[in-house]
Amino acid sequence: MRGSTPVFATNENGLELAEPLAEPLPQRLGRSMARLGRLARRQPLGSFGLLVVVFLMVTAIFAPWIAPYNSIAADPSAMRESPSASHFFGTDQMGRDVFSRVVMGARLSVGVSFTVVAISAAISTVLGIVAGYYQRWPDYLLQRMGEFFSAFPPLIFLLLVVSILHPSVKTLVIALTLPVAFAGGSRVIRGASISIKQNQYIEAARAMGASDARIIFLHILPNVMPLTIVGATTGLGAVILALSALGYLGLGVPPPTADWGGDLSGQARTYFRLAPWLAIFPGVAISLTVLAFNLLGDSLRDLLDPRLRGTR
Amino acid sequence: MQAYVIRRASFLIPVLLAVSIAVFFALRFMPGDITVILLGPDASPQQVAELRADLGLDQPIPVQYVKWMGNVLQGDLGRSYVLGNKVGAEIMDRAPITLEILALTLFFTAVLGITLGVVSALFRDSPLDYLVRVTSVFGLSVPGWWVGIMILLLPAIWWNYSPPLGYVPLQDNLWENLRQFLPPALTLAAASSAVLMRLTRTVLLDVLRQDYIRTARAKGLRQNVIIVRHAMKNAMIPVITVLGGQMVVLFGGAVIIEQVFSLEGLGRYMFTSIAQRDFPVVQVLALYTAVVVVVLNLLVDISYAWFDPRVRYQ
Repeated sequence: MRGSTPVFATNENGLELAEPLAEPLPQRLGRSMARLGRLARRQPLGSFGLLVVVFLMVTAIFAPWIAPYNSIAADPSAMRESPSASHFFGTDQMGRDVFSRVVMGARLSVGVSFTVVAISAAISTVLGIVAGYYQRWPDYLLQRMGEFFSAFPPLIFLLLVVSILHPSVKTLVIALTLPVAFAGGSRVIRGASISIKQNQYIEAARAMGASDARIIFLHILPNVMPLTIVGATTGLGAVILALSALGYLGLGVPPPTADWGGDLSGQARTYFRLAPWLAIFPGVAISLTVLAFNLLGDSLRDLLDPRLRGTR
Repeated sequence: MQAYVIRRASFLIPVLLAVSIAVFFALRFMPGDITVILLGPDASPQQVAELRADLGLDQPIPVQYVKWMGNVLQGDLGRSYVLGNKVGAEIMDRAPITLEILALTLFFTAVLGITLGVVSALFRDSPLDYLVRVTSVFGLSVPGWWVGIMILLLPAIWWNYSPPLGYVPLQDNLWENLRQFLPPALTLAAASSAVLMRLTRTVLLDVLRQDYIRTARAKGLRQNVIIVRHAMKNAMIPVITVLGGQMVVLFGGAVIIEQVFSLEGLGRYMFTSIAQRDFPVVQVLALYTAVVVVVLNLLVDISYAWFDPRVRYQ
């Protein structure tokens, strides 16, 4: 990373001083602000994405305190009210505050997507490295598994799995994890591992008597990490899209839990013409969230993958 | 090359068998009993037992599978539990709808994706490039089904406009047909053309940096000739391959887009059959999709070698 602060201060001859100089706090703060500013100038879209992601995570964590109303309690006295000062996004057909449901929906989307991506990134990295490094039968197995999963269009696979298991948060996590962990993500890591393995420094390490474990942890893993990170970031957006699609088809988390996709399905659909705010706000929330993850992912790719620098 | 195709094709059969077995068995562990759906909750145990025997559900699952597979291989796709009609005939009825959506989507995806990608690469870092890139990120991020809802909702609110209800075949009335099919196709194409646009841009920029392009320029060739005859030829290889991959995704996308626009195509058939636990229909559709997808994937892999003589398969 360019522009990082040196740990040791240097004198005017460029020689390192033995003692690290303590910087006064305001100056240090100013410097990291300047670094942030530089990042924002070089990666404006990515910084915007990061900002939205941070905002989203804060919303997700503090959702119950941010939401002005109970997101699941029906209120017959306030059905389908249009957006106003007391209900920013209006109310739905059961009198529930749409703003509160969108805020609480952030919690579900963020929770599910981070869980799915964390599990599938771990599995796909391990599988991909093992298959790519050892090849032979682990590789054969992974490839056949990939072929099995790729025989389903993604959405149809999700439909089948979620219908076969009972719809619940756990089911959704399983259904969304499987194809990424065993097919999509691990294939990318496998390819990268194979090409890294052919480098001379791996040969040199082996000549010096390094064990497989040492080579994997010290040489292969750090080299595939950028791929894992970029894959995970765009994966977050993809998971939220898939989750909302399932919700829209009525196969998401069972009601009355607030779910962006689910709030656009079922009974609500009959009221869209009379109460368009029901259709607009959850959709905007999904779009903005996925957009933020995609922008962040693109920027990370630029920063982490030197081959693609400046082409995207 | 030929050996490679044969070897890859020979993998298809075990994959298809695995898919059909997995779907067949998994369906039978699905919560929700088909007999309850068909007879209602008040049916007597005797009625339930009779119906189960009628449908062959009283036999062990492996036996059921072998029987079903035997019939399918002989061209008998079975009957729907719910409607009682032949699955094969129903598929033939509905296929034109899904095919038209997919064909239109593919057309818009290719035209929009490639054109915008080329423009973006040629005018790199211009405002136009930024506009195209930002639009494409939006295309990737905004859920297609939600765009579909908005496309139906907003004109309905503003101008009281809505597309014709009920399927209008292409040959009956082209205009009405397009009014029905253009919105879903364009909605689906928004996301896939964004994928294609980004790829075209990246690949073309990469190709334009190659030595042979510099040589072509040094020879004094015109920019148009360089782009069309030299750069595009190579840049199109991965683009065409990804277009094949996008087809697979679109197959799944059809399920949701048919739901949004209330079109009775294969996707909607799949969706309602899963919801109604209509095993014979789901089994056949899953197998049918798997065949199409697996063949598409194979074609994509072969196309690498076909379009790029440098690629050699052992």
